[in-house]
Amino acid sequence: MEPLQIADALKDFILNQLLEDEQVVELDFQTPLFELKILDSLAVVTVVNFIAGTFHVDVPLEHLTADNLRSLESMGQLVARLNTQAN
Amino acid sequence: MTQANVDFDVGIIGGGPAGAALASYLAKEGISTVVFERELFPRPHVGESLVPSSTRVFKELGFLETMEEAKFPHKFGAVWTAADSNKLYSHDWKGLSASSYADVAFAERAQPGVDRDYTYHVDRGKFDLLLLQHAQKLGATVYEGVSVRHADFSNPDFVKVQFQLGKSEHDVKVKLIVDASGRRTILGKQLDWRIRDKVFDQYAIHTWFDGYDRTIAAKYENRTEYIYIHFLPITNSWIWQIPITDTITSVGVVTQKKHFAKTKESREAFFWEAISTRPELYEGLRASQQVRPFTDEGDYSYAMKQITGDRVVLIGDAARFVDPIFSTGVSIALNGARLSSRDIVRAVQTNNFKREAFANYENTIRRGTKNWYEFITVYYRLNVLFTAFVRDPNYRLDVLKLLQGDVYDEEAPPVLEKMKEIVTAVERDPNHIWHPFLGDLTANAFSPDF
Repeated sequence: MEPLQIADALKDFILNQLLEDEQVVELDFQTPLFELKILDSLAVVTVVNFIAGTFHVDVPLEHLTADNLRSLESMGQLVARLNTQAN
Repeated sequence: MTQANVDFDVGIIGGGPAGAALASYLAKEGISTVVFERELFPRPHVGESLVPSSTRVFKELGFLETMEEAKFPHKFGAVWTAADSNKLYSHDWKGLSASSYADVAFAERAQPGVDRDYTYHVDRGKFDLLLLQHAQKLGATVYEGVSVRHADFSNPDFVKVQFQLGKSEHDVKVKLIVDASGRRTILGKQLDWRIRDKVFDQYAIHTWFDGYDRTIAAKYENRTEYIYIHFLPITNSWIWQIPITDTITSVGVVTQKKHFAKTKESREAFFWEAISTRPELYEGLRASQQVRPFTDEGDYSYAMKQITGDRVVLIGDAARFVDPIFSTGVSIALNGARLSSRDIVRAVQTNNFKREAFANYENTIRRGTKNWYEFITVYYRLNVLFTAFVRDPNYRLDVLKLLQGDVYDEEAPPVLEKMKEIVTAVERDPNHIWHPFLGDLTANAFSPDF
């Protein structure tokens, strides 16, 4: 699994499932997700569940650090890394 | 050993849910039992919401029908809410706001031995009276208006229970004395077993409102009969909202002792000030009618060095009081009665009232309260984790099992171990997104000293 592929799927999920309809956001792979309040501490759990369901990768809650979750890119890298470790 | 000449086999101090349920269990087995209740029932009491593990006790005692006839509101679940972007969540991490809502319905998890997906909210005046009357119907002797002063253990063959009636002193001899005196902890104090809890130092102020519109707080119309826990933007503080009848709602504010003022007037002002941090609740309550004076509860959260001894057993709040956040008080009282009754019946049958005769009860109830305690500690230490677990399909049912009151069968429930692991990881990692939400419980909160 490529990090960018994962980031793309996450972008889709966040835009189409997580955010309320009226919230229109510019979202690229470097957008700071927390600073712009696109994600918050609880919404992250929904994203983690999405990752588990879609990529079959469990993100341990201990890994929910500001660095790992900074942007779609860093989240894609995290999931790809966990996937490699698991295999 | 000669058989001591006693008045009753078992004496129980206190006719609340713990005492009345135990008296019922013992009377059912034909054991001569006396209950000493200080008050004349009915009387008001805090602790109005139950958890489903209570149902097993009601079934065993043949009391479920009475619960239904009394038309106590059915409690189908619990809801936790927090204000959007309040101070607690937004003050020091990049303006982060955690609008938080979580709910559970008991129906989501089938519970062995519990045949319904709801429990009850109760007017404790009415509930306690009905349960004590039930004990009496089953054959227990009940003395109301009798305040026990002392239990004399000086004779190894019996306990002399001393109390005052009018101006004269009286005593009754029993083979075993059970302290079910609630937070007064009569024997815990007398025997010097009581230890104050240094971690939880909470106070509560509460009253009843008539005509409060419960749909105000309900995100979903069909959940007005749930218990609501509303977080406040003050450390470790929250509001309970409990339906008592169709129109009456019990509302209480729980907070740390340090926030709690000395005078009654300023405590009432504090209640309204705390409520006003949730404007929709404030307006709803102000528009309704307060129908009881404010009552406050302090000096809670303690443990006992031991909860059984030779010829003595402590149950319910008299054995331990943790914190009311998960509505556990009545359930622990009822289950304490259930568990202790087995040991007590055997003790009476074998005429062995040594401490070790009550070891099963002591071990099981300690295991259960330890699990409760840790669960509550996680909740206060890292609230967002609790909400995350409730929302996470991997953990939801395991959390629900704890919320249903099934805490006695496992030494260390895996879900609790997982929560503790994550709390520790978050504590150690300032970079973790939940680090800023850590509550200010002390670090050793997981090892209570009892």
